[in-house]
Amino acid sequence: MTRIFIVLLVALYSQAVLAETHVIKAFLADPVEVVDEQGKLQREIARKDTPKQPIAVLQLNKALDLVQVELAGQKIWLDVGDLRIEPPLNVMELPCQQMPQSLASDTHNKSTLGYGAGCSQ
Amino acid sequence: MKGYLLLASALLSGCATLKGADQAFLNLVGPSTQSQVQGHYVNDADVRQYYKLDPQRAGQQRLSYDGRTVPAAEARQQNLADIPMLQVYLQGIVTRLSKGWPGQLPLLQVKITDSYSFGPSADPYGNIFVPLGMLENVGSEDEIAAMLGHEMSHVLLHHHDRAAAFQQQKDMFTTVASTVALATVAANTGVDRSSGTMKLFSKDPAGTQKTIGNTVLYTSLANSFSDNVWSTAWGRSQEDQADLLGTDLMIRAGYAPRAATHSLERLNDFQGKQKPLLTGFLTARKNAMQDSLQQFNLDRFTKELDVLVKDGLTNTITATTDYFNRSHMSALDRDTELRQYLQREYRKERRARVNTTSWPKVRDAAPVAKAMQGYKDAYAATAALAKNKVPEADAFIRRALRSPVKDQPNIRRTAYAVRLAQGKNAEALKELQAIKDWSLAGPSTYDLMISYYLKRGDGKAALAMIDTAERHLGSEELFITEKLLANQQLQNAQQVQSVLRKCGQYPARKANCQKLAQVKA
Repeated sequence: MTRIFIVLLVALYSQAVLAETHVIKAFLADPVEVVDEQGKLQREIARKDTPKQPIAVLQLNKALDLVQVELAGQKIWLDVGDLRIEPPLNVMELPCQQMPQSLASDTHNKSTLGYGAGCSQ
Repeated sequence: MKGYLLLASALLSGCATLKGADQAFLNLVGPSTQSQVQGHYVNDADVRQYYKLDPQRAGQQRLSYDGRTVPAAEARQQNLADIPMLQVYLQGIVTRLSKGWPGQLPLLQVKITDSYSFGPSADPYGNIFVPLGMLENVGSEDEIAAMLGHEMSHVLLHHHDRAAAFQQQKDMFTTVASTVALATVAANTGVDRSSGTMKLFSKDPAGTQKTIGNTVLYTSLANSFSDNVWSTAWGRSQEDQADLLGTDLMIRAGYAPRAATHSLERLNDFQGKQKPLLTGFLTARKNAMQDSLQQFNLDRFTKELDVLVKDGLTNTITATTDYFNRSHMSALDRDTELRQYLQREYRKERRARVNTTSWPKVRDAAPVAKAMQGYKDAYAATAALAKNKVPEADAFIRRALRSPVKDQPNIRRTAYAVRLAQGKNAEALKELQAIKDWSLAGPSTYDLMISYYLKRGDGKAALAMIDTAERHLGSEELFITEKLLANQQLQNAQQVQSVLRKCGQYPARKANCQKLAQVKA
């Protein structure tokens, strides 16, 4: 029971931490749809009326592809499909060390080489 | 500025090797393909022309694939992974997507490859190659559908007819890899004419084997770039068209088109991680090639081959660098264009949510999870070898050898490389001999066995393995120089002449065959 509680708490906390690090870099759709927390359309905003500066993401609902932000003092939900978010929400899940690398050195023959430059993390 | 663009376009259009690049170039500087489409792309007049299959064209392709006439550059490069449950699932997605195509369908067949690249690819014969790296990273069935729909679209729109750039790229990697392997055999092989007949003998069996092993390791890593054709090897206009048609097919099949954004974002992330690796890789490879080539100073036979190889490799590597610089394109640009198309043409459908439960069910099912883990362990062994951590590589490969895919080519080939690194040459060979189904093997795996038999002077066994490779890869061209060597070893003059005549039909192989033929009794 305690373990389940801890897992839930960590999941909740990590979601919030994750959301805090993301920003809306651009509004791609015109108009942009404002939805409720289940993704149902509430109203629309013309792109010209959206903020030009990056906006911090307050909450993220990855399953429904929604983000919550604060606009004009109001907390609203937006569809990720209308937005460019950074850092991106969908990235490669394999750790960098499992990306292709070659032999760092070969004492017998040098026809095999290493990348050297490593990961761009 | 406009004059330069027109001049650049004119120059590109006049170059046979860059056929189609002029269109792509204009597409990059002019309005996007997506913005010019009115209505659903699947109904566009440009697409309608492909509704009806040309039976003669399809017949020629089928014949080519069933026979042995596939050019080496078009032959499958990777080993296949046999994971039946996963195969059925992926084929099911293709079938579901196919129902949205209003025209006649060519045969479309999913094949899982052992690559840890992200991008799938398709060949002109309707094979859709899905790398394990893609399956390790996607988040939903909708995302898989977005990528498979894109690849299907390349086939449906006959993009291979114009894919000179793709051919060029694959050809480069194939040429580099096979030339290094051949040159290594040649460099370490002496010619004994004392008995009155030509006899090849190995001067340094361990060294040759190691180099070939390393070349194979390199090839498998290089192919991780090579098969990332989804983003880099096709003209931008073809990419845009495949994005549009793939999205139409997704929506008709009831998938959520927003998943295309997910995969394009992931692709962008993948490319970002690859770029510095690629630059370092090419520089280091060029230096290492030049170093290794300096060792080729044996007799006239190898000297002549050396000159040929040296010129070929220098040109190839320069061209490869240029190619990657030229053809890189932004996945995020494609994503932005696609979203605008969705907003214009699919206002309601674009809101559909992805199904995040169906794919994890398949991925986590025991037969799939265990097989994928086996491949991951083998890949980790290769990565450990790359860092010269042999004990770590050994631990990983031992785990892979306990998986349900233990006798598949990738696993045994990796085990072979680990055993070689341990200095256990005899055990290394046994690993290769444990491969149960050679129909899954790619050219580099066949290369190992063929080179081994040639080195031992066992021309008969080499020919048998070459025949297996020809049947399963559909290409006679791939191993025709080795075929010539094997027949020379068997002193079968009639066959040597016959192979030489055939070899003359392949411009990329002709020179090597002629060099080898000059070494006579």
